[in-house]
Order: sequence, then structure tokens, then C-alpha cells
Amino acid sequence: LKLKILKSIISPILLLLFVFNGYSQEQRTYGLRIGFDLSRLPLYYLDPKIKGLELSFDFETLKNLYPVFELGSGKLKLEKENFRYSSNGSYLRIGFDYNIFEPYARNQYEMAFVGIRYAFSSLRYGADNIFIQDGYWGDFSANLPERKMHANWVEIAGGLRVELFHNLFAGWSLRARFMIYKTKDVNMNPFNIPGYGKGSLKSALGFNYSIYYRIPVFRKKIVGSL
Amino acid sequence: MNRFQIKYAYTILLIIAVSIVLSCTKETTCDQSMKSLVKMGFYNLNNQKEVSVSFNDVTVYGINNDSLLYDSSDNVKSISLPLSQVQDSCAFVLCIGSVSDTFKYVYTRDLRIVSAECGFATLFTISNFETTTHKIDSIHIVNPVINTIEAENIKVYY
Repeated sequence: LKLKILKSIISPILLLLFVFNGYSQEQRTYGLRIGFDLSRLPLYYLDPKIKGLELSFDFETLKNLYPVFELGSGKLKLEKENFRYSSNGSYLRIGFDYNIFEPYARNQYEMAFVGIRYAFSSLRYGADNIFIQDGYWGDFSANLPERKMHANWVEIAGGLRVELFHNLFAGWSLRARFMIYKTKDVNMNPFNIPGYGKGSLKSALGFNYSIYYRIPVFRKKIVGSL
Repeated sequence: MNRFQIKYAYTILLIIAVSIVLSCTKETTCDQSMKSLVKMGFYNLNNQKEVSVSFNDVTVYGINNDSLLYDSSDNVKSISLPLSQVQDSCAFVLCIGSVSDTFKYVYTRDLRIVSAECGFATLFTISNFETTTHKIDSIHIVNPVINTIEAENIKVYY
């Protein structure tokens, strides 16, 4: 199991070693970059109760500036001795990344970036087979019917991205998430808010590791010194 | 930073980032009391001053229940009683020596998650409390909310 996790992290790193340095083209390629979050896969092996999927889309618009759109979904199933819990939801994030890695070259796409996101998540969750032991008056069992909740938060992102082959990228980012608002529920907070993390936390830490493919849309000559 | 350095930085920082995230995903076990008990303390009023008192030969049981919660216990300063989770009221008999009082709780019930490890507990909110006054003088509801945290809910004055 640990080997599998290690492999999934290391293989993109190994790929890096074979990256050839730059192209002799005079132009910079622009296009929609689609990312698939691989970090969900080792997490799934670690904790099969959580299932998730995340895609991201970004496009370099201005120099160093990449508007980003991310969307994903998450499921959680818990089977405990005294209750059963399930949740299912989806989320989207919108924001931008700013490349702070210099020098910026026309044919170089390595990125060290900082970014910000606004995120919104919507989920349904509930618990059943709730059992509370009482040896005196008698045991109690109940269900908490499925309910709906929303949450929104902001994220500060920072990470690195490298080009493996032309148009193919790998990158990771670390996220600090700060809850703005979530639906209140006196009975039970969701254990996991998709895209956010632990539902009871006011701030959470996140991580993702993605493989990206850039659909080349157009090429442009960069003018001026780089 | 040149391109080479960014690749080293990439790998090293990646390992750091993964270990930070993995260190946050520990599982723990339930290590707290999951019983919601109503706690009643015994007091005397001496010149407006409240003094805690203890009694010997204390017996407590629930009405319509055969088993004793306290069986001729000595040195009792307070009692902790379980409320019924399947009804909205329950009554108890409290005997001190040969004198007994009967009291009845009326309450609302609600479920609260304690944690993923511990599961759910019932939260009771007392809406009414009645007692006979054979030995008891008066009562005062200090905290009508009964949860798994052990805090005094009712003061019983003798």
C-alpha cells in the first residue's frame, strides 16, 4: 500500500529527469490547461471511506496571471459501531494563480505561484443506525434524516508546477482554507465538506497534486526583455 | 532560481507538503463519557449562606424501574441520574433514611454528535421539575441543559 502511494508520487518526479530543457521556438504557447488531481488516489488507498474527484482549468491571460476554475466532488461513508454516516457533495472554486518564478521566458512554463480562490460547496449528509446505550431506562436508536448544507470559504494557494513534456505538466499546491459561512446544524456538523476538509474546522489545510494537459490554442511572440 | 533549482525545490517541498497533510489525518478513539446525567447537589441554607450537605443511607430508584441507582449509600453530597431517552418525562424516588421524596422531570430530547469516534449523545432540556416536599425544602434549576459534560443542573435545599 505504502509502495503504491510512493509510486504515484515519485513517478511524475522521475519523469522530470527526462525533461529536455526548453524549445528553440521563439513563441509562447497559450491554451486552456486541464488538470486532474492525482492526490485523491493515494488518499483513497489510505482511507477508502472518502472518495473524491477534482478537475481544474486555467488559462494564462496576462503575463504571469492564470485565472483558475476548479470543480470536484466528494463522498464519505462511515460505518461505526453506534452509527452510520454518509455524505455526498460537490464544490467549485474560482480564482487565479500568479507566477512568482522569474525569469519568465517565452518558452518556459515552470511556475512557482501564489493564488487565491473563492470556493463554494453543496452537500447532502445524514446518519442512521444511531444507537445510544442506556442500561437503566432502555437503549435508544434513531436516524437523522438526510439534510442539505452549503459552505463557502476562501483559499490561499501556493505551489510549484513543472513542464514534463510539451503541453504536459505536473504540479502540487498547498492550500490554507478559511471558512466564511456554512449552514448551521445543531445536531451534527458534516464530518467532511467536499473540497474543504473536516467540517467542524474554521480553517483547514489542503493539498493537491495534479497532472495537467494544455490544449494549445495559439502562439504569440513575446516582445521586450524577459 | 534557475530551472534546475526549481526542480529540486519542487521535489523537496512536495515531500514536506505531503508529510504535513499526512500528519493531520490521525485517527483517535473515544475517550470521554457519553452519558448525559442530570446532576443534583444537596444544600442547606444557613443565614442566607449556601452550604453543601451530605446524607447517609441514600436510596434512589426510577419509578416503574426495578433496579436501584443508589442503594443505602453513605456520604452522598450529590446524585447523578439517567433520564429516559425513550420518553419525555421520568420520575424518581429519593429516600434519605426513612423519609422519601418523589420528583418528576419533564424535558425535551435532541440528538447531538459528540465526535466521529464517540458517536451521538442525547441532549436533554428540562422544561418542568416537580417534587414532593417531605424532606426536601425547595429546589432551584441551575442549568436546564443536560449533556455529557458533568455540571450541576439542580440544587436541592433541605
